[in-house]
Amino acid sequence: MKTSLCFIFLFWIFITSPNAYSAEIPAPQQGLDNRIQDLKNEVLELNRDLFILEEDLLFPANTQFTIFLSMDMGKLFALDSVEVKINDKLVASHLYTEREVKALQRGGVQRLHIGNLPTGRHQMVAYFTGKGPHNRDYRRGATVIINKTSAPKYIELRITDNASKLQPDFSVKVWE
Amino acid sequence: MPFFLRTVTLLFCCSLASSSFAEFEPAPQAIHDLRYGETLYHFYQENYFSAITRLTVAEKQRPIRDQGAEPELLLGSLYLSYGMYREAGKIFSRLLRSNAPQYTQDKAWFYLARLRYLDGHFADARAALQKIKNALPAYHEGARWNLLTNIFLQQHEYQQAIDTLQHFTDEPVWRAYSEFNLGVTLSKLGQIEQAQKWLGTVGQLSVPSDDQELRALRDRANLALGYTDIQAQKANAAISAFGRVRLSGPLSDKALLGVGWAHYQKKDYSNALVPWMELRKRPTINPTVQEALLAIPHTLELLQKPQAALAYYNEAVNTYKTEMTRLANVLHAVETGELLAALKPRSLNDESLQLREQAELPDSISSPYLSNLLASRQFQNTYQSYRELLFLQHRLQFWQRQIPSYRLMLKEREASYQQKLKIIRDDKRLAQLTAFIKRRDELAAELQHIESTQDGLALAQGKERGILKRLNRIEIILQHLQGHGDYSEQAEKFRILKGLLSWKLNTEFVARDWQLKHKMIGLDRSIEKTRATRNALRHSWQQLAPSTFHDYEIRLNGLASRLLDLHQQINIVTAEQTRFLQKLAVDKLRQRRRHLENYLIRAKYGLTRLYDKLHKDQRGAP
Repeated sequence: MKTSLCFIFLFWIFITSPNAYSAEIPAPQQGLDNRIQDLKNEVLELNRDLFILEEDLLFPANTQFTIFLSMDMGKLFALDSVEVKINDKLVASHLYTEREVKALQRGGVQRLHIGNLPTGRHQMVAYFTGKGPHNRDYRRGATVIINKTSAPKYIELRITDNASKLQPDFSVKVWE
Repeated sequence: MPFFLRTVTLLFCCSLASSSFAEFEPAPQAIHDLRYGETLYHFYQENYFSAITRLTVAEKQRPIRDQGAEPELLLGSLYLSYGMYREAGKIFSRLLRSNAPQYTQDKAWFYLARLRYLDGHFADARAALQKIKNALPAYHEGARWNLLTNIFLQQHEYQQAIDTLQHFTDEPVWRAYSEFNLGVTLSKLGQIEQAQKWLGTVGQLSVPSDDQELRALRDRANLALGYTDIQAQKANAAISAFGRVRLSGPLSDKALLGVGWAHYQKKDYSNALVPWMELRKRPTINPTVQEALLAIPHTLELLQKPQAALAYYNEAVNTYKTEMTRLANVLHAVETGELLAALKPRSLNDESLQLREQAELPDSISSPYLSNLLASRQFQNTYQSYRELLFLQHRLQFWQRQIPSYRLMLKEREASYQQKLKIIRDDKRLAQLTAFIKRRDELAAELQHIESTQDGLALAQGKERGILKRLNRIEIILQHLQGHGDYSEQAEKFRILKGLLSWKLNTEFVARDWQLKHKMIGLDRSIEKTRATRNALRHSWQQLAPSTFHDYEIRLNGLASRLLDLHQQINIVTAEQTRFLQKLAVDKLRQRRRHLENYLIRAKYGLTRLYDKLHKDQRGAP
């Protein structure tokens, strides 16, 4: 009785506790896994083609206007939200999750807005809201005049830490 | 959080940490192409589908050239994270054929080694690891040596696996995983002393209180060590090992059971009962508790307490029967789709939400019975694929809803174009260009005539033209007055004035001629520009626009057809995956039923045997 009880339990514990390396070996349902991989690939390709079609249709190159947001370090400013106005009209706003802020802090660049803008001069104002140094509420704006030509326009809103002033800096870079 | 959730969440953490090898760390460099930065943004949020889409869109439209080989390496890593091993393999092989820098090649070899390991090609995986020339970044370096250790274990080269441990420098978690794997493998092989050494190393690690992953691994190591000690008849060592398992941790039940068995091994039956009695108070759904319920009466028998043993055997029989009834209900619920309904993600809109949900298990009646299954790698992988398939379905449905609006948009654009076309085609300004060109030619001929005759007066402008006209009239009057008086003074004035004007115009002839020529060049340019605009307009309405509409229509039709086809395929595969998930759950529940049946038989057998014994004792009594 003693031996058999022990054996049952030991056998049970070894077969049920996942071993960190052996568990990585794929399960025997290889055929289905391969089909899923194929399908993923096909859906990704289709998604890519539809994505391109959508951009071509909705945002033709001659009027296309895209706003990105990036953050360098981001230790002096905890970003909560961003609002962007063009010619005094709200075109984009975003409330950030912790996950998104971390992705920005690690060097990711967010595409905040894609839209259309006629050729000519436009005023863009971006408002950044969050917590500044000493956890104080912080709201800052950055303004830029954009000269939209018939080529697509890319604008990057940048949040950087100014170590000498111990303040965050907000700037706008126009990509050609 | 219910107990089973805690258990599974921690087990999830362990297995995730051991497999997060695909974590990509880009080479430190500035973002030179926003599209690369955008891909990183999605990648860091583990939105692999979106990240792959962004990179492949860039690849098709205008490949990213300013970030070196990083985008390619990132794409391979993304495919790896998204479970597309063949695509990942193609990219890493391509990178290795290219002139990528050594840093990139080393990383590519590492990823390729992981892929080969996952495919079970251990020798190839080992060969790939041997190609790495320089140390990888800290996290990958740990993963690299952990992988090599695992390869050696798979190839039964245990000494080499042990030798590999010396390479670990940073990242203690990877070393701990390697030591744990080594200990468990050696224990299974019966090399108890060696196993105890490695499990003991992990079991006695000093771990910061916030390092949940390593604390969970330490618990597992102590648990395995405790049972290995029992196998080696080292009960006291086993009690110490079990004692290091956190009481608040998910493995405390198993540790309590083990402590009981260790005391039992020492024939210290009274102390063996202490942890088992504690377990008895815990939910009887727990297999560990179920085992304790059988161990208690058995031990009481050994303590010569037959009446108490009888009562506990009865309790065990009743509990097993109740559990079997509950299990039958759960099995029925799972067979009728209860678990699958609970496993469906709450939302498919937010790609990252799916991953966050991974740590939590659905609130369903079957979940507590499937905690072990849900924590297993096979179930996790199957469940992950299932959710990915649901997400793909969701994406395809999204596009299917979009297609009609694109068609409508195209149709309306074409209608609007036709309307504008009529207006433009009938615009009189387009015909005026011919008249302008005719007029320009006349002016050019006139200029040429002026140049050939050197007619300075023809270049008179503004006031000069007025003066010239007046002088011409005066000349006519003077001619009429000839012979009617003395007008010599007036004639002389006229001659001087005309002479002055002629002199001015003739001296300025070259400058005026040049100005006119300059203006003619400007006129020619304007005419040419207008002609080009008119031609472009004509080309646009006659050829370009119709072909654009036609091209869009062809693209849309092609994509819509692919959408339909893929949607059907996804539905078929999702149904298969669903059945497979269900089968895994049902098999696990049946396995638990078999365990329960086994316990029940043993409890009934113990009961009968004890009754017989008591009966015989009674009959044998004087």
